[in-house]
Amino acid sequence: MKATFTLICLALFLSGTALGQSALEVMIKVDQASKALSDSTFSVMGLSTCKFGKTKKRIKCVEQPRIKQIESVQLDTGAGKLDSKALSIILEPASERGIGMLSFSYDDPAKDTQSWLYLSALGKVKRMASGSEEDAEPTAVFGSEFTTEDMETGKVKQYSYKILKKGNYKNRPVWVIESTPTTQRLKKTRYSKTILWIDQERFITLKVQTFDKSGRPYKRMSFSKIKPLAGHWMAHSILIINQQTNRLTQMTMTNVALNVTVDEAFLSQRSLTDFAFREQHLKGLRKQIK
Amino acid sequence: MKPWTFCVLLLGLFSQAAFGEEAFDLLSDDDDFSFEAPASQAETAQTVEHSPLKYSLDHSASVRLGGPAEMVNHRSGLNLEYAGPLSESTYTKVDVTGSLYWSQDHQAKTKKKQFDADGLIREAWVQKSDGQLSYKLGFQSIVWGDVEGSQATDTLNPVDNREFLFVDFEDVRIGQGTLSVAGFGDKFSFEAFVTPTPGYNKNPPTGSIYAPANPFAGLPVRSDLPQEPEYGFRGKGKIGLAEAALLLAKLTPNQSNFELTSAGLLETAAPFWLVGLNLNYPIGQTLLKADVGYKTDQGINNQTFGLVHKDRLDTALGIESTIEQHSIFASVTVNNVMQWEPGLVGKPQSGYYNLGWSKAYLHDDLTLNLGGFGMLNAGGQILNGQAQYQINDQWQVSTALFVIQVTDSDSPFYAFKDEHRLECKAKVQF
Repeated sequence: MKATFTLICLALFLSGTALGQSALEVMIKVDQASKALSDSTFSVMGLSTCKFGKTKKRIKCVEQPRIKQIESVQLDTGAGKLDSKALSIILEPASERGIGMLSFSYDDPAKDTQSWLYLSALGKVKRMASGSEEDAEPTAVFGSEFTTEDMETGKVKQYSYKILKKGNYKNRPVWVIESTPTTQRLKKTRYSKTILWIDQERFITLKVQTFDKSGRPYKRMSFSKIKPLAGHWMAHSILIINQQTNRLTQMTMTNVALNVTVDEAFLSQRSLTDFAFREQHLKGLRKQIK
Repeated sequence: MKPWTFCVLLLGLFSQAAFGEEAFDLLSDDDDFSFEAPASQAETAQTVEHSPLKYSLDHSASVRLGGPAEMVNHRSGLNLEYAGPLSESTYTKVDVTGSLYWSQDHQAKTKKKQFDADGLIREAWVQKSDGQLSYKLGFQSIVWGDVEGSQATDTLNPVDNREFLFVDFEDVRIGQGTLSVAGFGDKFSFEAFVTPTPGYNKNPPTGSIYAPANPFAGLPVRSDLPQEPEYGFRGKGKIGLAEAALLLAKLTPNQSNFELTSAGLLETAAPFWLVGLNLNYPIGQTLLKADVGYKTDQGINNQTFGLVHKDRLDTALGIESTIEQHSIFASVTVNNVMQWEPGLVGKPQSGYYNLGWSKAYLHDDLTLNLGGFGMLNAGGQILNGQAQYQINDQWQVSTALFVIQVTDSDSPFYAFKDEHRLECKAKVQF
């Protein structure tokens, strides 16, 4: 009788957690897995954005998509590798080719992000005052449907979580987790609520549904082409659909390498103006793509 | 061709079809859509190598308003740019532009031609990286200064003054044959340059509607421009969050001076020293900037059109900030002539201010800009508004309105007095 009672108690307890893990613990693991993908990373990423139309279960661009291609290098630095340095160079379209952006971000909310932009038309490096990550409002990433908010990591504790359901989604075991921003975070985010489909074995996100401040469905993200890379699972394609404006962006990782050897001196203002130096290093990084 | 045909109505608002509240079966994929990527997108996703060549074609027309509408600009342009590595440690860039001025363009009208053409090498250089140093040889621009639009210290390259008030800021500099060396350390960097044969500003040709009034027209002009090289050094470092640079250069004025002599007009340009400081400091999402330049031997005419030389202190202060995605910018530049004496043309203290606002709309496709430029201690201001719309990845159209009022006849911009101008431009880039 005592054993039966214990089992019932355990079952009740487990129903509120995810195989012994709370929703918060799951999300911390997801965040850690996501952060691991950004350290010493070299990637060529394509962003394709268009207005779409729907026919039954298919969606299709109804205009010529706007395509951006960006080559990026990121390195986590500082104590605990909580800070990061990143360099991004626009490869396409031709009108923006050659624009380079260097940014240093800090885990400490009191420290401002530092960023510099090289505009080939102006022929000089321009310093940008970005404020701290806490100050920054979500802005569109290169004019796409992705915002800076959709890409950030390390904000797990600024949300509360609840497991809504467990089961299978697209043949993967998942937790469906609802994330709600804290009162403080609500001032910064554009989402009142987010539902995430988390792979129980790989601790990666398979799908995200966000809701605007009025509670209406806002943006939906689908993660695909999930492949192992240097010991981590990674989605090589992310489709984001704005359900309110009927615009979508597909982000495709054309080339990506993790744990590349990056000379920290490369992630400096020198790389914005010394093109010979930059190309020399990029050539070395491109070789590290397997 | 009528200029109005280039004026495209840019503004439109996308209707927003909001979805109603949907009920979810959380583990069903029934509400998921499959996306059919267009072929062009799939092809681009595979592209890693990019052409080092890019080119653009543009066509623009401008009309003067305020009286009978008159076309002042009607021109086409071609720009070719090649940028890419030559070897493991060398890189090259060539940027050339050619312009064709149609019969209604004032550049062709001045020469009484059906059309006129000119070309310009903006950049043509080879860069080599070696250890902590980088060398760059060829036609290039060197920009020393933090405050955009101020020439307190950003005065190394000559500029295209032919339509100074209407030329895009990025197109105004003229490259010079220069050897520059840059050195990079952890906390300190430097740049040094030498320009063996410095160039001069491009000014409106005689007879142009923008040529300044010349009270000595008809007098013989003798040129005695120096043949001395320009050279300089800038050291840059960080002090806390601030970035500071100290600079020292021996320069030739970009704008020559004229002096009345018994034999006619004498064109000269006295080399001078520039000692300067550039500073920027971020506070949150605001950047404070300052450029200070002390220039020796600046030529100033007196009332008998003789020439005297005085030192000048130019100070520029700027601020730029982003507030809820509105970018705002303000700067003021003050020029102080040292040891001013009566009888000199102009004022001991002069200067100008710049104000700007910019915001992107329609998923960054539409950019609106408003700007103001005014002269301190002299009558003159310019207001402008610009709308730029990116139709797709290749095509861009823009329209701009300039409202100019210059009342001071000593102003270098007096030729632009009371001009209101509407400009329309289309550009395609590949």
